[in-house]
Amino acid sequence: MRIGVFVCHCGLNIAGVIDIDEVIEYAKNLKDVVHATAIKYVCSDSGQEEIVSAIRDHKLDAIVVAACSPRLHEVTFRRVAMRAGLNPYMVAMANIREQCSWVHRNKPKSATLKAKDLVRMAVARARHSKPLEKRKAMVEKAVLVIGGGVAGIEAALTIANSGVKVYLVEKKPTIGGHMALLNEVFPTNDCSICILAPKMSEAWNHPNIEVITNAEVKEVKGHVGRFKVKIVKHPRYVDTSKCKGCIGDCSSVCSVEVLNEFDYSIGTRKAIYIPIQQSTPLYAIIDWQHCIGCRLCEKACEPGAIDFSQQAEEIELEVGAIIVATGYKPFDARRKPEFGYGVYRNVITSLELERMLSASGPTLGQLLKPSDSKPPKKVAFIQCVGSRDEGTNRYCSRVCCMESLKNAYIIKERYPGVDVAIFYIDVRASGRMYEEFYRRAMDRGVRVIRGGIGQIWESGDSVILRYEDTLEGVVKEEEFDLVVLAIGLEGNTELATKLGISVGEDGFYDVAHPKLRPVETDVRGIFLAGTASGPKDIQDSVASAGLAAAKALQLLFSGEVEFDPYNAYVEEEKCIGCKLCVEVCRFNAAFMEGNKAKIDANACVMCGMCVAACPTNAIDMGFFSDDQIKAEIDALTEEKNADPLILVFSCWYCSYAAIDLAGTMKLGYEPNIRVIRTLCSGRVDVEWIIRALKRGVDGVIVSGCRLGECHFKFGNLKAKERIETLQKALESIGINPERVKTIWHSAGEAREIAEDFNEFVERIKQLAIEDELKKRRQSNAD
Amino acid sequence: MQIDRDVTINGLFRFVQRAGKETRELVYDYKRCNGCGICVYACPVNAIELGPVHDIASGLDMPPVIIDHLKCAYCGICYAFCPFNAFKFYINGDEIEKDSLPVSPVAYTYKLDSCVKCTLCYKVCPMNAITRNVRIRREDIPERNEGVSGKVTVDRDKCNLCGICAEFCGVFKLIGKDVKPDDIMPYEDLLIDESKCDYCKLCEEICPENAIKVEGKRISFELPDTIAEISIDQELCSYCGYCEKVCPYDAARTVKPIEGELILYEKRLHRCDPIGCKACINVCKHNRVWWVSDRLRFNSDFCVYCGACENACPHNLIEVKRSKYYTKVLLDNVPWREAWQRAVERIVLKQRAELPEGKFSIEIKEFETFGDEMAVEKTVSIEVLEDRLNAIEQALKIPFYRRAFEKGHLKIFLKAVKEYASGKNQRNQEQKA
Repeated sequence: MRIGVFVCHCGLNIAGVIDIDEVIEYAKNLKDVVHATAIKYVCSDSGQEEIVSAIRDHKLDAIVVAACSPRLHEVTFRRVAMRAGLNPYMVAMANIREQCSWVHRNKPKSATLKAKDLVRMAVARARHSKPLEKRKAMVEKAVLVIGGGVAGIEAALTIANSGVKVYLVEKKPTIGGHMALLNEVFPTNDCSICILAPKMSEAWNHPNIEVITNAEVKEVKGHVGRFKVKIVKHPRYVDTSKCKGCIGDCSSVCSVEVLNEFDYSIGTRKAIYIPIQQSTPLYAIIDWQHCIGCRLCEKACEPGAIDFSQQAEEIELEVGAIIVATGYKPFDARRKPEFGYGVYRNVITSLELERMLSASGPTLGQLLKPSDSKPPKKVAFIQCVGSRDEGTNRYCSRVCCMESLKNAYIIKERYPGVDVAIFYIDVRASGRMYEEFYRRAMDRGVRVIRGGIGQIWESGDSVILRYEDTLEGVVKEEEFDLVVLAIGLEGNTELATKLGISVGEDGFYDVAHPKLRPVETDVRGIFLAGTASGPKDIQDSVASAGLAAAKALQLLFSGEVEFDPYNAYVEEEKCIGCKLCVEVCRFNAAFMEGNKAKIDANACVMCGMCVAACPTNAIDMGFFSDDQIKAEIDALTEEKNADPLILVFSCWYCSYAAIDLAGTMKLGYEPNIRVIRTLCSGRVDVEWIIRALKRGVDGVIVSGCRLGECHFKFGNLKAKERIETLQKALESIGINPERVKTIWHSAGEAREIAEDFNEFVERIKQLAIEDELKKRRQSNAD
Repeated sequence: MQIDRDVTINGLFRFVQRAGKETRELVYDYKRCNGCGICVYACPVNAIELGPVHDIASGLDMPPVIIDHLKCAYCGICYAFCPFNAFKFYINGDEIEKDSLPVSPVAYTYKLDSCVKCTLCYKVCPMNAITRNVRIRREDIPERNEGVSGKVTVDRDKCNLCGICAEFCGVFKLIGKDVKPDDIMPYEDLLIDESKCDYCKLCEEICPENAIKVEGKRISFELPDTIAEISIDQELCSYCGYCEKVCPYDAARTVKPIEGELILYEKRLHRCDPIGCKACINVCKHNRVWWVSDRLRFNSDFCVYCGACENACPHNLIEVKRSKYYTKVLLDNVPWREAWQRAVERIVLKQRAELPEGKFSIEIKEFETFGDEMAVEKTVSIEVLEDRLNAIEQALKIPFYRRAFEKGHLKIFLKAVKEYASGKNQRNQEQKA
């Protein structure tokens, strides 16, 4: 084996803390290392060329790049290897920046020792590396779009117009989402449904789009290229082949009247209804929660479209990619009781106002007070209800300032005599033509007052607001007829566990990288569009939908998708047919053929749970093989450069990201920590921990994603069970179980993970002192 | 589709809905109703309102609930859950059985095999729902002993005053008394009138406790196995449980649909006027739960937790709490099952249906049209029009003038049009000729 070691200065990022020359000298003396050199910036073009030349000149079989985090540049260096004619999986990386120089800046000597350890481990890993080929699989040329709002429709149309089949699944009985219910949209003041309806119609009539309404996603299995999705279509109790969409025959005779969720509960509908006048598809639906069975609709419907015998239908789809466009849910204003929503009749939300102003709403476009149906004379808008708020949501919902300005402008336009005031904290008008619109609204006579509302109380029919005008510095009270609360957007994340995508701490789905990968999730093949990934206005939703469609098409275009060669496989000679892997695998990838186990490479999600379970080590996985990791452990324990020496097995997804983030944030933790990465914490073989302890490691941490958020859904739960059992076993043989610990963190919890590391190091030091005291007491006793 | 709803009152309230080819009828017998108000809670469209139950319990002749026949949806929920069967429900003339409805209460009174067909249960039933059909009496049997003397003795320890002997033969006479919730035996004592007796010894055989001893001569008549039959009319039955309580042979079992608690606020009992008011006693005519001894008292064994007494008491001294309602669900996957089950929940929680309040009242402006439908009048002769328009058309066909038109050179174009309209017009006519 001829190994080359390349250590990066990274300017001063690494070189400023670690003694690069010492590391190079050390590397040169390692077994099988024939070339070791330092490069200023390994990732730069010249740096990469240097590696290519070195591989060719020194005929290297494998390379070690000691630089930044593999999360950043592993792919870069794999490409470099390929350019030089070397198999990309013969590259090993040592993370001496995010996990060394950046976190141990005040202990440069320890950092250098740690860097040497990490390089030694990487060399050992490289020694046991094997050339691997990426696996290719056919891609199903169909896309599932979940959610039929403006983002879902845009994504569906883009994909369908490229010739690919789209399934558009919508939970409500009509597509259109929230946009179909709005009145006019800013800053052009176009009528919302007028611009959306042609797109809704196009989507319904498009030969490549199958719109399934009143349906929900029940189960998602499989992987990118071949997702197997089960949809459950709830019954409408209306035969769609017969219903003519007359909007009236059935609902006019229905005896039950309920609040209409399509009017945000400011209007009513019957138990059999057509959601909006532009419903697509235009069929009635019976609300099974409120129908009492009087059967008048059945008699009133001339075409005889009512069918009470309809059952829920299960549909199975196979798609290559999924786009999640599930949108947002409006903030429930009752959570801010100080504004009196739900108590005072003349306090409404911004969405209720949209419905009132809309020509197809409950007042046919007239602005009326809910208490007495008379037009108001003074209207107040209160901004940031449920947003930018410590008690409810901390984020800014982005659209409410413009929405209120637009609504205020429209009220002034239609009812010039009405006095409109907007109470704001900051006016956020940051899109194109938005600031100009703000000016126009003020020119129209809309009053804007900077100040928070302290209290609202009723006085007869009107409502009195008590506020501080912060620009004047005076507390005032003013009476208003109608108060509109500009409510924020909240995330809609019921599909998170079904799809295996993660949810951020603000309640919206997390994206892979907020700047550069804003529509991808951490699951390959699942993309986000629209407000599902965070509050945004309609044009940004449409833009993100287009990007999501492009990413999906990118996957489907070539007809095949490539997989990293990390899948598990069985070495048949070692298999004893104990069936443990079949029991452990939660993805039905392991099965028995005769009395030998086999693993379906297409079903394998590469979590590694089976690999860790096999008693005879008959199962292995590419690039995270047993030999490689054992070699890393052995290499680490050849020299003891830290006391205590802590080994951390970190999962690739959340845990490694959090440890890297601690580096990016320049948090400090003890340099006793050495990290070995696996794809999932479920891969961690308990035998490794025992091996490490035997060879002198003082403490072991198994670190994974937060429980319930494992990228492979079950991996960290299995790891937790295994470690708990191991701890009990250690206790039974007299070894302190505290030496093996599990921690579970999300990718953003850098501070928490750094604290955990420091606490653990302290604890192990404490244990060493306790052991010493015990020994002395025993020897005194003797 | 036209929906007609009507009501006729003729002792019974008949609410009728005619929709298309179907006629639904809800018949309300207010004399059976006691004002419990369960239908008021159950109604999903709040078409039923509770009347003045206290005044009705004090003698006012008025229906305890008032049904708005226009709001009513004729769904049958009130009929399903009325504890006293005050409603009847017909669709196209066919009476609908409660058992065929999607959700109905579990309520039944069983007559078990241990029944000896005595007279106790039918005597105590407050609803007269139990009938005892006597197959044969002593007077029906012609054979009599002549000139036989003897003695009839009843072992008072064994006799449970079941009354079989008294309803078989006139020798035995039972002294009846009022049935009260604290003393449910309908009989006080058994008297024997030996003057009528012929000592035939048949009574020895019919007494289920063998309490009667006759010294005499048994006539040869063979008694049938049963001399009477007991039957229980489930529609009349109010599931009070008097029969269950009185039966000495544990042969009656009542299954009540509602479990709950009956509370009397004893601390405020000084407000109660048990002699003058009696509203609770009057209103509980189906179940006889309340009585007055030293003061107002109740026996919740007979209570079905309907809540009528709570509505009737003018001083709010009574509270009826319902904790469970046992129902049978027949149709699982019809869209209205949820609404029917919620009706049950509302009955238990004593809540009315929440209907959307305060709708907007908007003026829908009709579009005005002026005058009648317009007649088409010809004002200008078509030929004159055509000639004039031809002038422009001809000018447009000439490229020079067309260019003038396109580029906006009005003078040139209009001049051409004028020429065509007057001068050149004649030249065309000559050409035509």
